[in-house]
Amino acid sequence: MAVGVRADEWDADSDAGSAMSVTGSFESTYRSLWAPLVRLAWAMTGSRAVAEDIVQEVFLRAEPVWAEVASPRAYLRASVVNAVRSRQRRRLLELRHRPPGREATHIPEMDELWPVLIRLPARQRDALALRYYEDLSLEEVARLLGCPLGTAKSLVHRGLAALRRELGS
Amino acid sequence: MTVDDVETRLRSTYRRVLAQVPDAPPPLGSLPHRRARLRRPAVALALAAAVLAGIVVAAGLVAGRERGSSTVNVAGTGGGAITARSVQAGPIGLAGTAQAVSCVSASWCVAVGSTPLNDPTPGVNGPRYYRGVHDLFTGHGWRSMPAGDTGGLAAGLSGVSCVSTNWCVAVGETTGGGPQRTVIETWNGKRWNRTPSPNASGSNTLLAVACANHDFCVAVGYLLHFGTASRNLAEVFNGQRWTLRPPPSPEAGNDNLSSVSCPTAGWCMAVGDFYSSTPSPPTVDRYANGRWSQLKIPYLTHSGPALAGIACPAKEDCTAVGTVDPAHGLTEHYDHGTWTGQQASDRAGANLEAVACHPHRCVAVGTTPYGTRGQRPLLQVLPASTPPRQATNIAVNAMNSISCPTSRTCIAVGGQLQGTNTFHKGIYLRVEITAP
Repeated sequence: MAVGVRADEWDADSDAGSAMSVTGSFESTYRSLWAPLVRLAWAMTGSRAVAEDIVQEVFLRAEPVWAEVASPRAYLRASVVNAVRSRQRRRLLELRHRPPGREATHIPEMDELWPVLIRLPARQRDALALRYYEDLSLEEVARLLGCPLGTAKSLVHRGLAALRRELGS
Repeated sequence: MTVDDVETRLRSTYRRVLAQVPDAPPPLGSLPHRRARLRRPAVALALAAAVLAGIVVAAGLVAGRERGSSTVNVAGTGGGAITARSVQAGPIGLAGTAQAVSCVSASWCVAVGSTPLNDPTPGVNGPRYYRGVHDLFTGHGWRSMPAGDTGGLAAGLSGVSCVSTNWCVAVGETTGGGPQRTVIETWNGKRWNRTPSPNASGSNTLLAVACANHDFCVAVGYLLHFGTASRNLAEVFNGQRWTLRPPPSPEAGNDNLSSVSCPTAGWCMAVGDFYSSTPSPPTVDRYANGRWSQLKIPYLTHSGPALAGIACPAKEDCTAVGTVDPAHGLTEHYDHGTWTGQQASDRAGANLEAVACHPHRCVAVGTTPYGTRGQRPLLQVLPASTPPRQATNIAVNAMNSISCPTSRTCIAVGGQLQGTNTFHKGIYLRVEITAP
């Protein structure tokens, strides 16, 4: 099975004609965008299981309003970002009322950078995923995260600096 | 290891790890909720109808309320209140987000931001090119300001400072391909014109500007050398031209200046964030007597302190706001050489992004989570006697800037998601403070 993981797979989807056109069916969009959305959510949450739950929820929420969605790609991506951030907020609230402990998160052993990445503060991890996995401009990162441009830049650069520090040590 | 190396490594990590997700999704019918719906179509339809009806009613209520005002009480200030009311959006609102605002009076403000140059439908990877836009508020709503010669370059604008209705400065960066270059535009009372601005080697970005008068302004941002960490960037205007005047940056670490305030000519305070191999306080640089000096700010026990906004109503009197990880509002006050800090909010996910001051009173603005979806404006009168207050009936995606032309009236700007779309529109709030 061919597995594409770069953000440009969204390009391929868009070139697929009606599959990703404004009038694309819900089913065809689900088939073509499920995997890219799970990968984005995984990059942001650090957990594949959580990512699949989030994307499932996003599609379930999208189906009843599908006829109103003008730009499926952009709508679903924003929905995933919002769902991830909502979950992060809930996690913060839960953690405040729970004794400290390590969260059980699946860490692929195939890449030493991954565990460092998922230990970053959530906002930095989100910003890096949108910037370097989704390949979005900083302006778009700021829009999706709901922060000023300077804050988005700061998050990306502080995230990169943290990774560099960890890799160099 | 250089920044380029880290970027390459990071892309490679995403590629390798995320490849474990197969392209083929599980069948739609296998989704648990969907299976339940298929088994109970009548119940599902009834539930869906009820939910949709609720959404419609809720949306109607929210839309109706947003045309009104959101009042939040501020305890400890003699029974006063902050009233935040959304006002007619300006042209930036067509598809962009307002990044900064500067008011000369309660009926004359300028907001700047950027809007996608291409079709407003976000592209596959988002629009790459932006056009800087300026909105003018005259008390009767917002309208677009005439742009003059802006050099034909795609640019985003992040900061603005107005000295009078005839003179403002806006700053930003070029967008699109190649290294970013600084952008400085000047309003002469009739139109905006691109002003020559210096650049250092690397990628140059200006995020904020402050003008004490027509002859003295400072713009700040950051410089990204190729393959190295970011460095503070600052440019000073002497009434004739802009010159590079960067504050010192430590060798090891990433510096970034986000905001600057200049209450008098020749004296400014700039804030931002700094990240290195060890926990670090935020960046604070003071400009006085023609040179920059780094100031010590008390180290916070919270990790990742970053200051996003500063306002100095007078020399040696400044208030800065920002965030500590994992996203709590932070305020710092500077009084004649001494910084004192406090965490402003225990709201998880809250951020303070900007602050505006009059003598003895400041108003900070930011965002805070609302329910499980969306964000709401966060307002706080400083010095803080109570936690920040949330304007619960105004939906925002970002609140970016605030300007207070009087002690009781402020204008705050930001962006708002539009319905089921991902396009943004500018949002403009009029904030009234009725506290004594």
